[in-house]
Amino acid sequence: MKWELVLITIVYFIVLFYFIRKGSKKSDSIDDFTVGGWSMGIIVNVGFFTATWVSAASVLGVPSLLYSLGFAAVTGWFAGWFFANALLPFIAYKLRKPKFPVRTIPEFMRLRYEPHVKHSKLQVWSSLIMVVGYISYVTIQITGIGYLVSAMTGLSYQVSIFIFLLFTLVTVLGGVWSVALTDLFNTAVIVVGLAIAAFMILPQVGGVTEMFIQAGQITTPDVVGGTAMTEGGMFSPLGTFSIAAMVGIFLSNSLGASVAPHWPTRLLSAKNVKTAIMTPLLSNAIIFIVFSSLLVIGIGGRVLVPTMPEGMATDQIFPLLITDYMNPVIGGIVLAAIFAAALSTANGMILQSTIAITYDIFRNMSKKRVKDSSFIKITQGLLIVVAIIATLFALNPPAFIAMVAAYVFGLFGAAFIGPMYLGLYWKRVNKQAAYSGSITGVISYVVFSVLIETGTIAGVLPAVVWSVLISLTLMIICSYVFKPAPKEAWEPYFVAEVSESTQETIDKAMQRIKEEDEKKEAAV
Amino acid sequence: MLDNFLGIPSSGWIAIAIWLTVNVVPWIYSLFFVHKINQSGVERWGAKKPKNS
Repeated sequence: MKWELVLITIVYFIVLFYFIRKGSKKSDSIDDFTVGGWSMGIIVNVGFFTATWVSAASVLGVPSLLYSLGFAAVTGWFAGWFFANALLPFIAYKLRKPKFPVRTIPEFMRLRYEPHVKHSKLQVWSSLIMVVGYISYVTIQITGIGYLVSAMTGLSYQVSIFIFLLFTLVTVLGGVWSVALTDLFNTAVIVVGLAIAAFMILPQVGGVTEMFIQAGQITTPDVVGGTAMTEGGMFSPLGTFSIAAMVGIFLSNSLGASVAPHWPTRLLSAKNVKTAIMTPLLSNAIIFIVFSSLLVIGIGGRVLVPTMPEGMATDQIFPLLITDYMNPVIGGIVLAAIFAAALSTANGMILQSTIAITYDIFRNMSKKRVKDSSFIKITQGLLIVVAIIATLFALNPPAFIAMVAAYVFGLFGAAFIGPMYLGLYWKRVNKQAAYSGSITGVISYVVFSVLIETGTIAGVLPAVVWSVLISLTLMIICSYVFKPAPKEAWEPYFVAEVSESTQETIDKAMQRIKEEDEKKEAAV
Repeated sequence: MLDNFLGIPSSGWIAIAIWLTVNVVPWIYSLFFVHKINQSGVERWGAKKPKNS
């Protein structure tokens, strides 16, 4: 193992540990542990949002897309993903309005659609979708970073993912504040590391203008035996896709991601509505810098290595550039940036899925009241279990994991777009609409994905668009066929001060117990 | 007319323009939302100052 990497790892861990300690001090109550007490300022919240957004999959995958497709990747993928963020202010504007906002997205489903039930099945259903989606996605993150760390350090794959597991656990056990503060640091590492990588590539390709001029002249295939690129093809906004196919790619990259539950959860952490609205916007500006660096890395990589060496896939372009075109210290810093990207996404998702199990399933369905301190301890215990399960999956990823991970954002879109947007903007939409819209959305997403994948129907419109259309239609029909939602369901999102009955309903559902009652309970 | 700018031909700038658009447009309606919050006077939403002060 190289001394530069050891040194960088030690420095990274020491600074990370400082933020972990700061974050862990703020996790005494259930509100702090699950949602940061709805009190995060704009700087922490933007760091929290940005680091989760930039994953190892995007840091390694985006240069690969640019390398193969050229600027078509900017049209379909960059613009699609950024459009997902562009939709988030619509959610932020409403979701963060209540005096006591929900702690989780499954809880939003409960309070918005069935506020009077004792135990919510809709909350359980939403949680199950999150758990399946996130564990699969985290497994893929662990696999990707494991192979990268192993290739660059000489450590075995097993040891590499074990190190990643340790980092994940120390950041996640302190709850949301710990994850948020370490994410703030990780955002800095990602931005600086990737900017350095881009600046290391630029002189080797003759600067920005020369790099693009040379990219325009590339006619070789991206991989040995692949299809040759036409001259200037790197700049085609459509690449080899039709307009319809590109619109489909754009939509499938944007629709689902806009309601993936960890994004609205980050909006909930904000200290007020204004901060929640500004979070995705300011994050977009930082992510723009990150993606500009990745643009240089992907296109510059194609100029430096017009065709990948035999036996190598395009997703190995970034690791190849690090080992062959950067000095070891810089390579170590860039590796730290990729590690930070993987860590900040994985810890956020592990925390979300564990809270879904303990808060939205166990606490929701439990007949006895679970004390806050017990809840936090149970969640911390389960965090270890969930992280270990994801790591065990990563040791030998089952086929279904890769499959679910590839479709996870579409799955979230199918399940949550209708209930989230209609629930926040239409008073009438009711419980029957939420159940039918979410369940039918998921089923139709699976069916259309299979039909498109097997070539039974043309894939011009992606499965997520079909499923969202079906889900929304059904929700509108149900909202008119059945009784409108009670005022306790919609009031928090439409008025500044809710009625007494609504407040009582919320307190009961969220098990918000007044201090004096808590004392009485403890005395008993 | 310029064939290219920064080495990127006009076709490439179409892709970049789409990307920039999805970055810029959300600011328009988001600032409208912020304006509505300020007008509401509800401090816990982040309004600058209460309506009647």
